[in-house]
Amino acid sequence: MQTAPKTDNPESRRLMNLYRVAYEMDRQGLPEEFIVAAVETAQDYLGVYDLMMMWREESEEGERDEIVADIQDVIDACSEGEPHGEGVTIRLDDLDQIGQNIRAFKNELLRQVEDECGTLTELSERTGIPLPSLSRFFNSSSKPRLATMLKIKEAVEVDEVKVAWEDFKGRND
Amino acid sequence: MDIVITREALNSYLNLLHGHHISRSTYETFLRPDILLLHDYPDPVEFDRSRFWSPAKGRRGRIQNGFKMKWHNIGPGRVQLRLPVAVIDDTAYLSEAYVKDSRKKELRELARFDVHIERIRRGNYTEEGRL
Repeated sequence: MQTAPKTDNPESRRLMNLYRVAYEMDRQGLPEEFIVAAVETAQDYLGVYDLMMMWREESEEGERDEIVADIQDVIDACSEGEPHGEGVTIRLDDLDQIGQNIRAFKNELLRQVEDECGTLTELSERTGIPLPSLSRFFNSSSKPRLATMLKIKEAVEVDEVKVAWEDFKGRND
Repeated sequence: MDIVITREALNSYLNLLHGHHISRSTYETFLRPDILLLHDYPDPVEFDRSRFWSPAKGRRGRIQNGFKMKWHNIGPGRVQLRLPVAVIDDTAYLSEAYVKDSRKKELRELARFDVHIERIRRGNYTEEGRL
């Protein structure tokens, strides 16, 4: 069988590598929306390219899941576009309560998701967000990103969307 | 040098607290005083100690503008804590701190850091405050 000549162009080589990883990700059942976004973002940010190559080189499933969650996090961060701050002063004294309020919000959101979808696997299918990313989202104390909340809101009936620091300040009674 | 707290840094602080890797006291007693040294970077002798401060190296080698501040056996979790810092145009941008518990984990975190630095260069980042 004739082997196709390899390109000498580094950019073309990188793109071919990305297509190979994309093909394998598709075979592994990762959402198409995620794979497309990963390939697009990796062409713009070499760190994402690195993560995709790490995924290809990794044989341990748990580590692969972490890499997928990392890629999704970065895709969401890169898609946020214009720089902004919320103009809200966050004091160190507020952070413990903010962290608790974020946890409480995510726990309630997870309950609503499970009421409607049953499982995170179903939510993953509805939103196109990989399952490892959803697991990380619900288990972390990070402030939710708008991109993630909008995808979840499109997929299930949720009571509220909270993405601003102001939403999480104050006591959660 | 100015010290910018990015969204990634703030979120990582919340996650480290939630995971009981560090406490408020750890931050106030150990982390914050060290981070404040960045105001006078590179003069303080601490920056000459590779156990405290070193260039960040990812999968493809040195990450431009990227450094790591390091603490060893710190906090209630006695963890290896790393704080990636981007130094760009006389400003230090604190990025996403992490517990280094394996080389694989570190390579993933540094790949994320690489992306974060590029976003900062492009002005696509969120400032949550300054120290």
